[in-house]
Amino acid sequence: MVKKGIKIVTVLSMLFVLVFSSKFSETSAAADPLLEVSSVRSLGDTVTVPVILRHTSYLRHFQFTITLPSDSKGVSLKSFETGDLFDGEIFRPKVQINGNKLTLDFISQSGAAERLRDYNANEMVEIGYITYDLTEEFTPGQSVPLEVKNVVAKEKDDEDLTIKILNGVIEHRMTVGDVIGNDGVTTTDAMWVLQHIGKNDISDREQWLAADVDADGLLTQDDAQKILDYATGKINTFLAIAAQELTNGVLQSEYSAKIEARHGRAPYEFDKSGRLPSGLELNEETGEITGVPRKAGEYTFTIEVIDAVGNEAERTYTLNIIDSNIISVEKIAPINVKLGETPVLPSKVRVTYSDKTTGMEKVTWEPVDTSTLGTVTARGKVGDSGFTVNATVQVVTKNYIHNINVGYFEMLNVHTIVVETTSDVYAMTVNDIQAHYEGNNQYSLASSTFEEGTAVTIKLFDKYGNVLETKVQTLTINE
Amino acid sequence: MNYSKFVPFFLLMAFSLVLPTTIAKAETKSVVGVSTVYEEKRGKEVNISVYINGSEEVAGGSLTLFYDKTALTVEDEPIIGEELSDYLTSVNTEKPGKVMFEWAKATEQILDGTLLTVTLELEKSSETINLDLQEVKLFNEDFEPISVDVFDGQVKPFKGDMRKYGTKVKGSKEWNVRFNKEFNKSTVNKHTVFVRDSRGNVIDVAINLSGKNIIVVKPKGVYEYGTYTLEITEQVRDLNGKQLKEPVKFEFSVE
Repeated sequence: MVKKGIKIVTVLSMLFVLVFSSKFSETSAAADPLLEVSSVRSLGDTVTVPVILRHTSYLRHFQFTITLPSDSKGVSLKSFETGDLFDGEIFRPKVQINGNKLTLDFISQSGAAERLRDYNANEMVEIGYITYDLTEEFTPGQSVPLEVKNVVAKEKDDEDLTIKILNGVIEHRMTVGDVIGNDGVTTTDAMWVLQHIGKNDISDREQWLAADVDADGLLTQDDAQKILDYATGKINTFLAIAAQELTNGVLQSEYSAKIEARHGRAPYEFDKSGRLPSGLELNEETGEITGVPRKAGEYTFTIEVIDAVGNEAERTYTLNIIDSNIISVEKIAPINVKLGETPVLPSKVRVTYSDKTTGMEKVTWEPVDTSTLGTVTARGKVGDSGFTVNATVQVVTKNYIHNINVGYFEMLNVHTIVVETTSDVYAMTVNDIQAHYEGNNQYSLASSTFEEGTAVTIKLFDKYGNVLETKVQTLTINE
Repeated sequence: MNYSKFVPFFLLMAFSLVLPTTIAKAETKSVVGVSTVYEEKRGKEVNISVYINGSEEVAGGSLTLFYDKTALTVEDEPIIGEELSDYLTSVNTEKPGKVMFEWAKATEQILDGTLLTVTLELEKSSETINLDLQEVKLFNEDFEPISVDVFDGQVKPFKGDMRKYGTKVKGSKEWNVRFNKEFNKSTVNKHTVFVRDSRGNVIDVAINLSGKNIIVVKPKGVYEYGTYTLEITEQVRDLNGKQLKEPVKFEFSVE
């Protein structure tokens, strides 16, 4: 039970606001020159990879190669098409394709360095577009890097120009926003999203994630609007901070939360505006908020993220720091629930008290709306402590697990877990250890590290590597 | 219709044989066009409208309007047409020289009217500036493309037929405009046939078709006392896609 007489300062819900920043061009103006080979996705038999030069003032000569790994399967270089400036009018191109190695060499037609800003005020010029053929050997979920090498760049007075490199990636996945698979984000993708809002008929996790472009866990008109804005070029990225609800922090107790960026080009850089609770710090590289809060209260702050090519997004949070005799609560793994059904949430959770002892506390859960596909947060109150606990609930169209059997070989002291799944499942882990596929939608794992009565975490993945379901299973022998 | 007040006036115009825009059986297709505006003074603002006459139901579409960026600049945020009030829309004018526009809805409907109006400032005088529609795509709700004819427009000085009606007319006056050939009904709309008052304001008129080659133009209310101009741009086309030989301005006075 919670000790009496503890002062509970406040328990308030958190607010989330997603705002796309318009500061991109201002921020990028002072950035270093950057050669970007894009990160692209495709489900088709070809893929086009833009090659972009950013934040470069003057350029006279530019040469580099882009290569595929020698062991890459199912991806082969087909052609290169130069961008407007590099097609001979301003820069004379020399394009060489040798197997999967592309060598590009551009020199200014005038012989002098060209001021690139004269041609594009956005400080971004398209050098060209590489097309690769994709075959069946390039399977769903696979990716190959596109590495830039041998860069030579000259600017004014033939001085060397230092250019940062961002290597490219081709992924066999659905392009974010391109839910129909047009190999481009178009108005028909927005139509598709609008047709599926509230219909709860999307069973393909990859398609769902590609449609939820603002990463708020729900399919809304805002997703369709952003797809249209992307199609017209009003926005040039779907970079977003994934929605999540931060649990309350406790005074003088370790706190940890992680802000995640989506749909941009890693690495990301995080920053904050507004006031974090005293004692908490934001890790600018990982987005983790950690520390020991020193003062109770309600804190509103905005987390901003900038990706590797200078795009920005932000989200505003309100975080409450409370005074409680409970200093931490066990984290509850994400839970899947079928559309319209009630999620099975734990009635008690393990807590740690301020005197370092542990115990079980009753949780009173608020009702969870499972009428719409997507991600919702279940919120519960821990006893009368004022402490809240959150659980991420994925509302899905089906149960991916048909059956779980736990066995035990006494001679070997080995527990076996056999999970029968739907055909949507392409991989499974148990406590992050890869399980074996036995055929017929059955996965198994045997281990001597498991103990009877303890809980293991089973994760199911689709063919693209998306998590379909996370299930905590207590090892009770049933076969 | 009160025919006792109907004063017939027939305006005979020849469709040009000089501009060989080859569009066969245009009336079976949807039409997306951009208006032609007659203006030549540098610094003047012109309103360019992109219109649609749909023969099939449309759930979404996209287009790009190209213009000479040295001759025109976008002044204000474009105005989305009332036809698209139920659609999500996005318009991008950030890149000089082009306007990119997309619209989408879950379900399809017939579209007939204005999609978008863009206000541009004329940076050059006495020039013909082309307004080119490209990448025009319409889709039904099954994501299937819809066949569409595309008609470009221009901003240019008026070099057409100017006429004046000598007798004052009543405020309820209807004008019958007869063409010498059957016209493409999809190209007759408030952007190609309209009435302005002496200040240049466009008057709300009803445009009806009578037979295969007559347009009936009448005020939705009544014309007030004053002078008006009925204008017909050369964007009215015949069934072979040929434009009018020249635009027409027909001035009349209301008693």
